[in-house]
Parts: sequence; structure tokens; C-alpha cells
Amino acid sequence: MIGQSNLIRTIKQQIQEQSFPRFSIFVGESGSEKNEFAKYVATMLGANFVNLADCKVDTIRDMIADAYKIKTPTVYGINDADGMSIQAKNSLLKVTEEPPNKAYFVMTLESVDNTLRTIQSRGAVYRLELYSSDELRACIHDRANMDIILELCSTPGDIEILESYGVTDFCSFVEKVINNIATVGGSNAFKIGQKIRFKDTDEGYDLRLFWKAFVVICFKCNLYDGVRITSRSLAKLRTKTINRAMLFDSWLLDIRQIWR
Amino acid sequence: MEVTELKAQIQSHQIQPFHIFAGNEWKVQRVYLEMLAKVSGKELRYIDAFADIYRSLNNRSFVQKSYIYVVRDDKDIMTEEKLQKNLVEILGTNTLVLLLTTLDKRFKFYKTYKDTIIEFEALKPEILHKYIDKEIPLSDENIDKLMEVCEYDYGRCLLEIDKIKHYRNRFVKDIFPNDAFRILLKDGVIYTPPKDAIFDFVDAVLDRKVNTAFNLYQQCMAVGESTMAILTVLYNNVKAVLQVQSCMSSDVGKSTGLNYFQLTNAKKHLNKYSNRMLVQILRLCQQCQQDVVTGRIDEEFVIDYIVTSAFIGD
Repeated sequence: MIGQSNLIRTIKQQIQEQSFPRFSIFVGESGSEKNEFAKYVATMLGANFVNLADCKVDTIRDMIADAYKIKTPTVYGINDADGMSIQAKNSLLKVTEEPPNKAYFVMTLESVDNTLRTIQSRGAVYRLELYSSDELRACIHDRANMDIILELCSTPGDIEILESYGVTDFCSFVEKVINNIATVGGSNAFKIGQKIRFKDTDEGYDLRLFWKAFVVICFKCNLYDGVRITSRSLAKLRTKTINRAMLFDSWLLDIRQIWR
Repeated sequence: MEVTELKAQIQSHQIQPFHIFAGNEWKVQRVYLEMLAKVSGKELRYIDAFADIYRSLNNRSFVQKSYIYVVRDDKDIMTEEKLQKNLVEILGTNTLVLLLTTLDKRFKFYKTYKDTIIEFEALKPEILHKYIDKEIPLSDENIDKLMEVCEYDYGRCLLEIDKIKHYRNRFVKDIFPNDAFRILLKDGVIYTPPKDAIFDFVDAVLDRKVNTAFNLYQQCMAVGESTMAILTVLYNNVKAVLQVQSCMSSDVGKSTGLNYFQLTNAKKHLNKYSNRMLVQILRLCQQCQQDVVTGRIDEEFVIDYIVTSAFIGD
């Protein structure tokens, strides 16, 4: 695990004192290795780890049925549960309140607001720590662009994504958008969205990373309106079920309106 | 269990004491119930609940007659495990047929009786065509039309055929069945379900046809279209129109990145709204989508709100 030393120390102590909760919620930014951390918790507990394929209600129900049959300690990882349906969340209520013997449930979220209060109250919420510069430096392979990567990325996941795009290409794209977004015609401006990934199955640049880079570059260039509008849109991304394509278009229209 | 297995059991006179029928083809289920009654020599009895006959079943008597009891969605049978275990013993020489309106494969009842449940799936169109042809001498074209409006449901087809026969017998004697069918269809006596109207609705909004738009919206709701689906289609089409309308370039396709179909469709709706109004509609759609997913507003109001704002704007 990269970083998270305080959190790991806390969890180890809880395991030693046999007070580690049967249901825990790990909250952290996208790319902060929450799912890896869930696996690491299983290692610390000396338990098996079962990673759920998805957060659909049928998968959750199968997990619950399995949890009552296990004979060895097992950690069930309910990963990226931000977009979980209400039915799936409701099906978790009983098992998280009275978990079966030997079963541990670990849910990972980007924002704790993306789950029901009743689920939050049944589990212990752990927030993943922010990464220090040294910790992030250890993840960087593209040493030539280390400074830019450290400015744009706050998690190891972001670093991995950014390096896969090519740092120079990505930054050139963001700068090109900043320079031209207000000057091109309306129909052309919408074409920027064709380079952005709104769904996991799409190709293109990650929207969150794009906006993060936009904020950083706007800040450097004293374009504070751009910082404000983009930060607001970034915050809305935390709501998993929001339509990202529509949000992007709305951001585009706002930026053009301010900068024209 | 498959329907063919049931047929084989009936033909070999090996009637099971307990059957479960599921699926929408109620008419076909009824045919099999009648076959069961005929082969077993027992009378069919429709009951509201198993509890109604439970006491009489437990009071055995030598003179008591055996029946085929038919009950729909009985909660006791579906949930009481003790009853399920002793059901065959309780029934004695009687037969019980449980009809299920919906089949939830997640529940324990389904898992317990998986091999007993017979799902009467929709008849294949060719077979349905033959059955209808036997009932009433309609042309092939009218039979296809009848199957389409009845959504390939045999029971519904029979009900509509009954209307045609009734019309001929009571009102206009000597009228040909095809003519009767055409008249009843045109007059709305033969029920035509609402069609998928989502794209027609969006076109009506983009053309500013107020009455048409709201009527088609009602149709979308009747069909059960999701509000979010309608919102997404509306949004994408409004955006396409905005892109085409605001394009200064001669090569609109290249400039906007829209494909041929999107371009052709967008061009039909140009200049009904100003660019400013189109932008406002886009913002409204985005805001409403966000508010619905965050629980700030109910989705049932969203389309009405956006469309009304669009029509009164400008």
C-alpha cells in the first residue's frame, strides 16, 4: 500500500484489540486505491477476500447468502458503491446490522453522501488519507514531467491515468481548450466533448482529470472565473448518477458565456 | 416443467396433484385446465383462496367429491413452508392448480418449485396466426394486424375476435369479417395500445406543436417510458439542432461532428427556437437531471416543466 500509514496503524490496533468492525466504509477520491485497501484489510485480518463483480441487487443477495455459509473468515469487498441502487442498498441493511459469524463487509465510496444514512449508521466510516508529495513521487514513472504530474494529480490512480495519456499531449490538449473555447463557433465548441470520456466504455480523457488540469492551468493564468466554474462542476461529479455529458455541456456553455 | 411435459402427463392420464401455471397466455392455460378436468373426470372449481377449502379438505368423507381447484396468487401456498410440505397429503384425491400472475425468480417459492412451474409463454406468431385463422376467416393481412394490436397475446386476440363476431351477429348481418374488422379498428372499438412515441414527442417539441407534444407525452407515459430516457432523447436532439443552427461553416457535418442521420433530423427543426432558447432548454434539462438524481425534485414533473418553459420562452 502507498501511504495510509495512520489508517493502517489504526486498523491494525483495532484488529489486535478485536474491535475491528464487521462492516466498514472506506471513503476516498477516485484513484485513491480504496479497492486495494479493502484487499489489504483482508490480509491484515488473515481472511479470504471476495471481490464483488458489481453492486447490483442480485449480486448483493448472492453475497449475503454466501456469507451465512462460510466457515472461514472472509472479507467481502463491495467496491465503488456510489452508484448502487436503492434496492441493493436496502438489501444490505439487515446483514450489516447483524453480520453473520466470520463475515466482514467492506464498502468503498467516493462520497459518503452516495449511500443511505441507515447504511452509514451501521458501519464505521474510514476516510483515506491524502497522499504526501513523497508518496506520490514514488508512483511516478515519467520523471521528466514530475512537477506537472504532482500539480495535476492527487492520487496514485490519477498518476497512472495521466501517464497512460502522455503528460505532454494531455496538457497541450487542455491548454488548447483554454485558448480556444471562447473563440470557436458554438457547434465547434461542443466537439470538445468528443475527446472526453463520459462513461467507462467511452474512449477519451477522463473528465475529472481534465477538469482538475483545467483548474490548475486557469489558476496559473489568473483566470479565476474558469477556476470557479470548473470547481463547481467538479464537485457535482461526486454524485455518481449525474449525467456527465450534460454536465460537461453545461460547463462549456458557462465558460463560453463568461469568457466571451 | 415444459408445456409438452404437461401435455404428455395428460395424455398418459398421470395427473399430478399440484400444478403451478405462470405466464401471460391465460387462454392457453384455460385450455389445459379444461383438458385436465376432462381427463381426470373432475369438475373445475375456481376459488379465491386456499383457506376457503382448507377446512373441507381436512374433513374427509367417503361421499365427498373430488375437484380440480384453481386459485390465483395464493399467499398461504406461496409462503407457508409447512403447508407446502403437507399439501399433497391435504389435497387427497383433489387436484390444485395455482395460477401465478407474476413470476419472481428471486423468491424461495420459485427455487422450491422450479421443476413444477409451467410457464405459458407467448405463442409463436405462425402458430397464433393459425389459431386465429381457425376462429374467424380474416385475410392474412388483417390477421397480422390483429396480432400486432393485441401484442401477440392469444387471449386478447380472442376477445377482439369476439367483438367482431358480436358486431356481425347483432348489428350488421352479412357484413364480411374483414370489413367488420376494419370498421371496428377505425372506430377504436378494437383496442390499439399506445405506441412508442418518444421520438415523435421530441419532434413535436422541436416544432413547437404544443397540443401534439403533450398528447404524445401522455402516450409515452402510458407506454411506461422512463422520464430520464425522454429527457436524454430531448436533450440530444435539442443539442443537435443548436449545433446545426449555430454553425457558420458550409461543411456542417464536419464542423459539428454529427452523423448523417442526426444532421438530417436536426435540419427539419431549424429556426423554431432561437439559439438562446435552445441553450436555455439544454441548461434546464441538465439542471433537472441533476436535481432528480440528488432527490431535490420528483421526476414526474420534469418533462412538463421543461416543455412548458420551452413553449412559453422566447
